[in-house]
Amino acid sequence: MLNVGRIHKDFPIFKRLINGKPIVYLDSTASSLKPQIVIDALCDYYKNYCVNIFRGVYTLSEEATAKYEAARAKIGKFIASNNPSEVIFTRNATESINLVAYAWGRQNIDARSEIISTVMEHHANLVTWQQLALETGAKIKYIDFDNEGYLNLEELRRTITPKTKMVAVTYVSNVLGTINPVDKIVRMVKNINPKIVVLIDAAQAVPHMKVDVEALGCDFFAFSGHKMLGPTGIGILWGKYQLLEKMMPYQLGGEMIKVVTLAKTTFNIPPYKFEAGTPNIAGALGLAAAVEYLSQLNMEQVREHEKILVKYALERFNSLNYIRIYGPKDPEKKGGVIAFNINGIHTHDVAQILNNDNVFIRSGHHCAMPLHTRLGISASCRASFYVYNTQDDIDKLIDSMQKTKRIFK
Amino acid sequence: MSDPDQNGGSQSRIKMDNLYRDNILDHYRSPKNFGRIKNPDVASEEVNSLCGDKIGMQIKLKKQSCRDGTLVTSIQDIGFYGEACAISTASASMLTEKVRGMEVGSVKKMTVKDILMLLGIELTPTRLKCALLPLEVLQKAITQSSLIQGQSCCLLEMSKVPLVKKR
Repeated sequence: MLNVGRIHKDFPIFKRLINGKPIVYLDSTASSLKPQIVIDALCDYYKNYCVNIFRGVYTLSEEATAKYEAARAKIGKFIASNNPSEVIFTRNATESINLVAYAWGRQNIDARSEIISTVMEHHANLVTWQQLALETGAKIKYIDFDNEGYLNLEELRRTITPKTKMVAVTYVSNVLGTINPVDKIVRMVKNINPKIVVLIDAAQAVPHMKVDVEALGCDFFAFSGHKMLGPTGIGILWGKYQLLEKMMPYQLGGEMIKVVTLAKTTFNIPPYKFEAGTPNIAGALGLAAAVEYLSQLNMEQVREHEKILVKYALERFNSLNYIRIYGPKDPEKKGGVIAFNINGIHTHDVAQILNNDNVFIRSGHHCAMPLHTRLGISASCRASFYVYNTQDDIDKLIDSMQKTKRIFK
Repeated sequence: MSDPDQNGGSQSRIKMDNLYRDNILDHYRSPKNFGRIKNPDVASEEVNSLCGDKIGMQIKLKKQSCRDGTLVTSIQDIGFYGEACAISTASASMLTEKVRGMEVGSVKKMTVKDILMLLGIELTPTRLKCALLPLEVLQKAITQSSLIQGQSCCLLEMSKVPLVKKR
């Protein structure tokens, strides 16, 4: 069990009172809070070695470069990657997916290709492929999910054709919380055709559970730093070296080159080929600190903690007859996120009244409009949990929801 | 630097205390001018990209000549439909009530101030978008009126929005 009392002390934001009351943060799916150790890593860089990496031969630059590369290796190890050259620093999961769509997609997708995605994707892993398909004339197909929020794997099997080039699927739904059996999905796809490239949007998985990219066997794996206690503006694309090697650069400029003449340019090797310009050095160091913190908590414990919270939240939600919950009801197959609606009350109004009690949840379509259309709704409320949340937070959420119901009676 | 807790805290308290007061909830529960109208001259629909709320408006215009012979257009009938939050719905209800009979030129000049005055509440920037959606739809409809008079400009996909609000 996580010691949440001790964890709370690591997050300076919990010292803040709003209207004299502590905050109940239930929107970690959008972005997590940050522990002091991450804030310190950012400050340490800006205070002590805030210089550019790679180019300088002086001590400060050597120091910064060594820490930046150590951060890459540490973050790689966190997802069980044994090759730091496969770990590319990006801005976030969205940029990671865009990188693949541009650099790999434009070389490999044409009018004869087919791309497969799913109805439950975040827009980052849907709009990207939809637009690539529109641009290239490729066909895009979406796998549906059933009424309980599980992907239909048989439909996926049937949808794959000799033309399928890419399967882009989320590890954990940012609305339904469904933990997709991505290992099964990768195996199924690769058994049918090992050449099909599989991209996993792991933005909601890496922060919450132990992951292993090598064992998974996927080709690309994208996630964001700010959802896993790290700073904003830093994310990761992990990719198989053989694919990265063949891909064209995503952006052009400094650091991604080997030799430049006025007539032509030879590009650097991965990961540098995809990191044009001065990167977010502080962000990389901050993310490494977050990874250190999470490793100390132990990711299996993190997952167990969220399972307990989800189980408790589902029990409490089920006791209210005016609530509709979306997605799986089995805590074993559901991440720490619950999407719901209070009958007859608009999500914005719910979130607004909860805000009055310092209970911070998300309302709207959560960057997943096709998912909501599939559910037959335009928006939902979403409460999500992380290492610093407790059953007490859920009790406060329920109390506040009952208050909302009274106001709108 | 000021203390964020002092600032943000007290500010949001003032706003929250009267946000869901009775007249807002009354307009939400029984909105005025809710529903489609017969033979509209102009129409428009808009989505709040933050939450996916949709509001559509249909307007019947009336042309009258003034004493000095100039021709003015005013709003004879107006109806709104769609699915939106309490703030957005109350805003649409009050706005449609207010502009009935008003001259189109004056409606075009309405601003955020007019909406806040109608609602009688203060709003945070995010919720301001909810409150302003109806005005946006209305002004879009009447601005386009010279171009599309007599036709419907309903976006096909959005016309599927149910006439009856989900409760």
